[in-house]
Amino acid sequence: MLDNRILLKSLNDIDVKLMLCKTNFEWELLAKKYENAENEVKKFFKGKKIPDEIKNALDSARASLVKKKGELPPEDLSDFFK
Amino acid sequence: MGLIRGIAEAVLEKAKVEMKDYIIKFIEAEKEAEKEAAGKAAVIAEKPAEPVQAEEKEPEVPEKRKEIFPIVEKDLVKYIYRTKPELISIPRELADLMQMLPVGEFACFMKLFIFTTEQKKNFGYIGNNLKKKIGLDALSPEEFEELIANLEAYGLMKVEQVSDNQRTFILYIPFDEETMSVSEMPRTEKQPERNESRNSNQQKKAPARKEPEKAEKKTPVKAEPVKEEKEEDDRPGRSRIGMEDDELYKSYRTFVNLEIDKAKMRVGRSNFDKIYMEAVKYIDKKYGFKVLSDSEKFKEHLTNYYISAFDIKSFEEWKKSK
Repeated sequence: MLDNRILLKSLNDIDVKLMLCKTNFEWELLAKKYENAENEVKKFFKGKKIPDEIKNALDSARASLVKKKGELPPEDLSDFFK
Repeated sequence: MGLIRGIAEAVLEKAKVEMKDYIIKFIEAEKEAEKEAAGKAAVIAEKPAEPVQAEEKEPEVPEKRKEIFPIVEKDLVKYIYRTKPELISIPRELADLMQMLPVGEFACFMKLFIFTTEQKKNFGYIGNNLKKKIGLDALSPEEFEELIANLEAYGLMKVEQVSDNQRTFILYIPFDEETMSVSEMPRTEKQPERNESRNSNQQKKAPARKEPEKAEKKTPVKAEPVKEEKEEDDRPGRSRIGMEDDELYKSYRTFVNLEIDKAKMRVGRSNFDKIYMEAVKYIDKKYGFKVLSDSEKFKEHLTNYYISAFDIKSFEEWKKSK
């Protein structure tokens, strides 16, 4: 059973925590949280239309996450080329 | 035909069972031999008159490396799960094999199995990152290496040296047609031909893409990765199994790394940060959000984006210019 209020709160939490996020590691934790929420929603509304309120909250959280990822120091590629 | 196939299957089944029994007996016999050896060592250690001899014999026991016989003798192939499995289930065939493994190897294999299933594939890179991700960071690198080597000896894993510092592994997982697809066939002699045909296909495709105007208008910040698809297989971070000129490719990777560093200096820190932001947005849009949290894939796409944004030569171009 999906509780809208809890879901919206957890998405809102991501937004709040993103403001304090300083490292890629912290970002990954929040991204995982978002992915879980998104999967839960998709699973619950399988084949049905996702309510606008939830869809907007998901989109907004994703946009904030992407924006934050871009603001964090660029990923170091030096070890990737070793 | 059906009868012959039936007989063949029955013979194979019987052979499997006999092989299994033989391995179990062999392992038991070996365990007994070890116990006896340990018992003898203990008896010798108890004798107070010859302490020097006991000291000499002690190191012999750990030094004796176990001879491992493969329990799987198949060529391991890279598979990809079509969708992320809801349940991580162990096929019966694999469970039978795993049962025979010693505790350490069993745990390591199980952890790798869970990890790779989670990643929707049966292969990946070996390194400290993997050790951490499967929760084996308490093990020393030597212990971890030993487990990997043993699993390889059992035939449950295949390790490949991609470059000096990079190794990849393929885990043995029975193929399931319904949920998996083959990612890459094992290396054969025909591989170079395949590469050639792929390259020629790419060359044929290249003129069809008409975006020269866009490319001309490119500024460092708004650069669009036009060459992306063409260079899909030229990604410097990507393991190029089957490629003969590994050394050349290694040089190319170094070249790309240097070019990115040079570009970073050229455009300045703030512009580079802007390009990075654009790259993140582009990768999210094109490959989906999940890629952003998959470090390896993200770095692959990011490198690809930089190659395009900074007009770095593709592998083929670079090779020709050499």
